[in-house]
Amino acid sequence: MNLDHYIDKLENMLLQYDRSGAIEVQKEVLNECSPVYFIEEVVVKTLISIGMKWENGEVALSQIYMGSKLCEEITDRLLPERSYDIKLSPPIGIVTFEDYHTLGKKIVKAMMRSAGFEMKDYGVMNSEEIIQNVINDGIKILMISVLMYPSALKIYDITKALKEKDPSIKILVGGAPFNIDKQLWKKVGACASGNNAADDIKIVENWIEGGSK
Amino acid sequence: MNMSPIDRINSVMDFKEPDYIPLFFTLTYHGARELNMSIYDYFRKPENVAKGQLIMNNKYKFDCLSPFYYSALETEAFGGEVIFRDECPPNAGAPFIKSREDIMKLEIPNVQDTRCLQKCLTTISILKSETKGRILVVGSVTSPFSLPIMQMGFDKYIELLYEDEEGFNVLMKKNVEFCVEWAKAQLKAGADAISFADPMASTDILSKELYIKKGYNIDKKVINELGCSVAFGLASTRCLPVIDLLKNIGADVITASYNDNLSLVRKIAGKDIVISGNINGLDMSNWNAEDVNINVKDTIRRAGKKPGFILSDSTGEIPWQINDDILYELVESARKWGKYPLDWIDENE
Repeated sequence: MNLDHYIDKLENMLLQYDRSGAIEVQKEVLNECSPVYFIEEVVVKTLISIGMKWENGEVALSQIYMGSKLCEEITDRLLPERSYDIKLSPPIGIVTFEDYHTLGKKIVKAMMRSAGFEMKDYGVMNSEEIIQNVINDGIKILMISVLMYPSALKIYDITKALKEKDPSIKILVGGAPFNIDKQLWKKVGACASGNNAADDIKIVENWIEGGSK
Repeated sequence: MNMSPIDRINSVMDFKEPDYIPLFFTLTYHGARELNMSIYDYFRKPENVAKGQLIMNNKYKFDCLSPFYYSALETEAFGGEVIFRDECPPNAGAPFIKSREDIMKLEIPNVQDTRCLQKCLTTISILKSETKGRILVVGSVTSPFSLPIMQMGFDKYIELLYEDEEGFNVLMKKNVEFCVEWAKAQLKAGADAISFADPMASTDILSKELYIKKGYNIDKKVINELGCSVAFGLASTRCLPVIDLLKNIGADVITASYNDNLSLVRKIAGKDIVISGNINGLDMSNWNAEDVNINVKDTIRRAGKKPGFILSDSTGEIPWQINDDILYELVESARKWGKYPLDWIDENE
């Protein structure tokens, strides 16, 4: 089934923040395929396309945020109360480290949920709180968002402590400092950093499938 | 004979060749290290900030002084919290506008009665008096259109922009009034120019269409009301997609991002507006002396031979972690490659 036409339409609706248009696209696709197929083949691919456009400077952060919120809303409508896991994954946690600027986390969370992942949202925490909660909750994939460069550098202490306690934990970092300094994620001991929020979906999917990158 | 920093800047503003390309690298909370005190203590007294600026200027010979405290100073004036941490610029605490009602009730701070703003004004006065007009003292404001990022949080502000026109208009009216009063107070205290930060103007943050609809006229109105030289900063976001708008906004300088095509920015800017930029301040932490030299040379080459260019970083603040050796190398390389006439640049390359 060729769904490219729907991907273009949904992308257009998300970027224009057209709620009724996005719902209409969803209805059209669901006439032809299952909800899970819609998420896998239309929603995820649309988000990846939008993410790449942001990376190339073709769409703005505000469009990404409003579009990802809308996307999360339409997938939630599709699966009321999200009573079952769409994607089987090890426990995932997401947190903003040392900052009240939580936009990055909200975008990533909305995109991940739109793609079918569930995760524990830790809000805003310091390093001790992150380490303690991640270990207590048995989190296996941790997504950390930061705004400030010094906070990004301090992630090293978190990755070091977590890897000592559980070497299997995968840590994905994101935020402005990692976009500006493309080598920074390695310096802080993370396992990866996405070039855009939708990249995180691909990275996490790859980890779940047993990939190392 | 070498020009004074102020003559160097004035020459660039007239699109004439100075002796060297001016250097605007902003060191702010770094003054705490020079005075061997905590960042919190450093910003407690205006005399500390003035002393720190003078010491750092004497060390590095940059061409401006920055009495800028921290971005959250303006939200502090509105009653917001400021978080101080070691080796980190003071940061805005939790957003204090949590509802539409909070916007309606928001009181505009009176500059004269607000201690944190008064400290900054005292710093400006000291710097002006100590340097006697020899070095440019640059005051700072956040655009009324970008201030809500800290006032209410980025996500809630974007939602307001998309979904609540009345709430947005009320907030802008209050922010414009505050911004103009705050900038004018800095000019009165002795600032020679104002750095005007509006990352929301960049298409990295907002679509051009939405900026034109919502923010452009606000920025233009405020800038024109100030009646002084204004440097328009976009906090490391790109200016190229909006430079056609910004060059007519009334500013005198625009800061290009490390992510901008500097040659193209300069070409479009022409003699309408001076461009500053576009060293990647964060990436500097990965550089050795040779990298500094290569990057400075390349940036000047991309900026081209014609005057109307200021060498600066694109983030507006050098990270604490950049060490002295790198900063000294930066100045040395900039003086080596930035000496006019820039005959070593082949513009046909």
